Amino acid sequence: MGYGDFIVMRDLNFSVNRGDIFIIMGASGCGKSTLLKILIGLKRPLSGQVFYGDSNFWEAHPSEREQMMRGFGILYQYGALWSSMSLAENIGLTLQRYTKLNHRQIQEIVSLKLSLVGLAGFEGYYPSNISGGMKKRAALARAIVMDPDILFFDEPSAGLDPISARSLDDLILELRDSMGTTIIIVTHELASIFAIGDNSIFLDVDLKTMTASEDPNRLLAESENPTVRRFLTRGKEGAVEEKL
Amino acid sequence: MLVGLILAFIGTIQLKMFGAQVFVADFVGIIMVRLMGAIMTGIIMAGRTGASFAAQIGTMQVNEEIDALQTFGISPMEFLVLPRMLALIIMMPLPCLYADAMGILGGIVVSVGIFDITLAEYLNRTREAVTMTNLWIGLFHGVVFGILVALAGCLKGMQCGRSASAVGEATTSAVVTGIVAIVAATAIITFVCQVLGI
Repeated sequence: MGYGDFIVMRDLNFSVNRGDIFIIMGASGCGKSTLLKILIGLKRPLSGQVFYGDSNFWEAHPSEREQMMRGFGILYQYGALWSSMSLAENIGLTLQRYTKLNHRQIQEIVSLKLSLVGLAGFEGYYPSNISGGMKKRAALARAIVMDPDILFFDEPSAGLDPISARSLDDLILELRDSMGTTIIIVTHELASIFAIGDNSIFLDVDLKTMTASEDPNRLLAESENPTVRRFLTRGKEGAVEEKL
Repeated sequence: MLVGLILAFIGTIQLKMFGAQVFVADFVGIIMVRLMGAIMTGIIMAGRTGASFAAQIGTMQVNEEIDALQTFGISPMEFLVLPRMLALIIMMPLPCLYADAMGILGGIVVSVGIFDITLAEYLNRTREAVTMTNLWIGLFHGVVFGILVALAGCLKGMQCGRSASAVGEATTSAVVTGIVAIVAATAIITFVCQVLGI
């Protein structure tokens, strides 16, 4: 995957089990977000394939791909709430477009989803009127409103205080346990990686490929790759040379 | 109004050489209604509304709001661009008419105030010279300019980079592109009208 002639990552080969919390981790600039964009349909890979079940995502007809994407829920790094709409409108938009629910039913579902993320009563607020953490939670409510099969999170803990980050981790676990949702998370937040990750891949920014694929806790315990160890131990172990 | 004033002033000076200063009413009326009213409105809309569209959509691009629309299966063209274009198509004729009226008023101010043409004479000449064809062509210009301004603003917004400075560049570019498109469209429409004999 890359941009024009610039290759960001190559030779990525991994699978995600249904119901897993799967972590895509690596140093800043290694291509985690680019990989996420390829998985969610925003960017076509330079080569290679993405399968959801038996369906080849990028070879499918655009209408089929769109249908697959309706099974996705995405939480962007800074929320990406639509600024001209209230929280209720943000969350209810996909219900309006893709369901036959009436206005009252949509309002009820919106209120329920906002309650799930601890934002009950904030239906009429606009994104500019709430804090960064609240925007994240509202965006999460929007991501789960259609009860998606797969949830994608792009740096979910970015900008959150440790307690809010922990609450978000708990919420992610609850979503997986109660709804059986497969969750793919792009992050380099170690506390979250170890707390909630079932499986992971590590993207090496220097080698431009993935160099590990395992449960993060087992990687920490058993991996002998110095770059992986350095990342997972916050620099205490592994490669010593600093690139200036 | 100032455009009408300028047209009347320059027109009268030239027409006076032939003793035909009374035809300044025709001159100002036809030019304003057929062309200049729409052009001035289009240029102002490019600067005000085209820039606004580019800034709004560019900011959405920076905040990943457009990515969010796409991943939720909502076409940005249908959701963002089309309503803006329709709004300008529907609304542009109104400020065009206002600009036409103000331009003719400017012509009246100069002609009646400085060059001793009576108001009745000016209005009669304007009524005779400015046909419905001229009015419809002027309104058509307005609609076309509305489409071009909306397209320029929205396109530059969608092409915006992912930084605050990129939004500024997109906004400036939208204005310039809109104005250049207006001038080019004017030339094309004028040529086509000439060929069609209208």
